[in-house]
Amino acid sequence: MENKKSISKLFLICVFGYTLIAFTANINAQESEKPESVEDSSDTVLEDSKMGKGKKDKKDYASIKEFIEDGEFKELNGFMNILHETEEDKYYLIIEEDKINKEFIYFAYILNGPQDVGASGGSMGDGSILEFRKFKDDIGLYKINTKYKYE
Amino acid sequence: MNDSNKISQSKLTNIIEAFMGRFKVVVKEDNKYLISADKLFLSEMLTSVTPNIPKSIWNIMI
Repeated sequence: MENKKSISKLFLICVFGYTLIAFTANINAQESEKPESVEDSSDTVLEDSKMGKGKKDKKDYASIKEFIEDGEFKELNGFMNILHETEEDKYYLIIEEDKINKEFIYFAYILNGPQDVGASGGSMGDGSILEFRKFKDDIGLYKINTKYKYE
Repeated sequence: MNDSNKISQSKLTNIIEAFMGRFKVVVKEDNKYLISADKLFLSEMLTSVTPNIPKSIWNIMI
């Protein structure tokens, strides 16, 4: 009887030991594969940063005057000054510090258009109250809620 | 105002300002910011011009 028990114990130990070895072998296989892929991806990131992808054309300008001198611009002065780069047809807006966090009225109307589609000259669009605010490193535009309030 | 009321609890959601867009600062001076405004002037961000008509109805109209 005791002999039978010791044989079954030995069998269980063998089975347990085999499964333990098998699992550890799998884990090792995964560990040896993973770092290679991680190294590969980090290498590509490093290469991209060395190449300076997407940052080649950009320059850091010290002042707006320097920026204007670097290209061909048409100035549209008004409540906020607009710069129109005529070569690439790009628009820039100059916002003064005192106009940030300050509400202003946006109003649009149709200058000219075919009457058949309802775009007759002088038709008014939806006006709104807007505000520029600092948003992280950039500037964010917010539309102020004028329709709903809670009291 | 009853703060236990569900409408009262959702007041911030109902009266919050709409965030319309984010503009990259190209040049920063002491008291001036020059931002790229293509999104503002060359899109329908501020005023919608394109008719917002479902395609099925648009086909019937034409």
